[in-house]
Amino acid sequence: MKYLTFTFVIIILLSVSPAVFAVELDPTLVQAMETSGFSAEQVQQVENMVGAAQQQGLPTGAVVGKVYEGIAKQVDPDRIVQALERVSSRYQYGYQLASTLSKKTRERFRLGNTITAGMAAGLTRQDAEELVGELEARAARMKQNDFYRLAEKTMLTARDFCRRGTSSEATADLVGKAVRKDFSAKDMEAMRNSFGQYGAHRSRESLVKEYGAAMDQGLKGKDLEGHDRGAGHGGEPGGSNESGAGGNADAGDSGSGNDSGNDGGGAGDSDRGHGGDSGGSGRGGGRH
Amino acid sequence: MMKSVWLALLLSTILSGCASSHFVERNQDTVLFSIRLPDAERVQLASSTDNFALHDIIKTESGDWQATVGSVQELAYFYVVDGSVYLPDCQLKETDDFGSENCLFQP
Repeated sequence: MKYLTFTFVIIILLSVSPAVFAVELDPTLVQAMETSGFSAEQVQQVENMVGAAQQQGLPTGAVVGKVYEGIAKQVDPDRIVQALERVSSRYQYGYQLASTLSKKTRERFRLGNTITAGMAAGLTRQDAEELVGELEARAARMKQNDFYRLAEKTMLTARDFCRRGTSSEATADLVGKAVRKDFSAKDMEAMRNSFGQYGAHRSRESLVKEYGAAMDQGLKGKDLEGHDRGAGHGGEPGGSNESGAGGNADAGDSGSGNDSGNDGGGAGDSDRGHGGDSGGSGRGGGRH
Repeated sequence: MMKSVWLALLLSTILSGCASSHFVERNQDTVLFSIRLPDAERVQLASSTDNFALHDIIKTESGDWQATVGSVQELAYFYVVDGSVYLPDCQLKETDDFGSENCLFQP
C-alpha cells in the first residue's frame, strides 16, 4: 500500500512539474542560446516552454522563432524567456477561442493562428472574445461551412485592421457591427480589401467611422467603398501599380515562421515607407 | 518673397533626399527589400523566413540598400543598421514582445 501511495505521489509530482514538458531542442538553437549568454537554467526553461507548446498542440515554431529573434536583437536572455511566456500565453488563448468556433482540427488551427496574430497586432483579449461572441450568435443561423468561412474572414479582417494601426476597440466595434449586420464571408473580405487599399492613404480612424456609417445605412461589402469615395474626404489611393489584385495573405502570426498553416491570397497591400518616391514600379507585385 | 520660396524649395529638396525611403516589393517568386540609408555603413536584414538570421545587404549605385528574399510567404522583418535594430516606417506591424515591433510583409 505504501509503495502504491509513493508511486502515486511521484506521478502527481511529475505531472505538475514543468520538466515533464522538456523536449530535446535543436542543437543549433542550444548553441545559439549558449553563445548569447543563456544560463543552463534558462536553456532548460526554453526547453520546457517548447515542450509545453508541443504538448498543448500549439505551434512550437512560434516559441523557437522568438528565441532566435531575441538573439538577433541582442535582447537579454531573461527578457527573451519572458517574451516566450507572452507568446505561449497568446497562442493558448487564441487557440482556446478558436475551439469555440470550430471543432475541426484544421479549422481550429487556422483560426487559432489568425486570432493569435490579431492579438500580436494589438487586438485585446477582451475584444477578441467580443468578436467571437458576435460570431457565435450567428452560428445557429448558418450552415457550418458558411459559418467557418465567416469566422475566418472576420478574424482576418480584425487582424489586418490592427496590423494597420487601428485601435483594438475601434476594430472590434466595426468588425463586430459587420457580423451583427449579417455580413457574409464575401462582404467581410471586401471590407478587408477595401481597408487595405484605402487605409494605406487615409486616416484609418476616419475610414473606420465612414464604414460604420455606411453599415448603418444598410451597405455591405464592396458598397462600403462607394460610400467612402462619396464622403468627400479626398485622398484616394494614387498610383494603382503599387497594389496587385485580390486580397491579403491569410497567414497567422508571422513570427512563428512556418507554423501559420494558412493559405496566401493574392497581392494587394501597399506598405511604402515615408519619404519614398511615389511612382510605382509597374512590376507584378505589391509593395509593402 | 522670392528668396524665401527658393529657400523653402531648396530645404525640401535636401530633406527629401535625406529621408529614408523604404519599400518591400513582391516579384514573381521573390521579395525585394529596399531601404535608403545614405549614412549607414552596414545594413543587415532579419526575417522570420529563416529564424531571423542576420543577412548583410548590399548598397546599390543609387545608394539604396537592397536584398532579395526567395520566399513570398508572409514574414516579419527588421533591419540592423550599424549594429542597432532599425524599424522603418511600414504599414503593417505587430508587437515583438520585447517592447518594440516588427514590420510585416503580406504577399
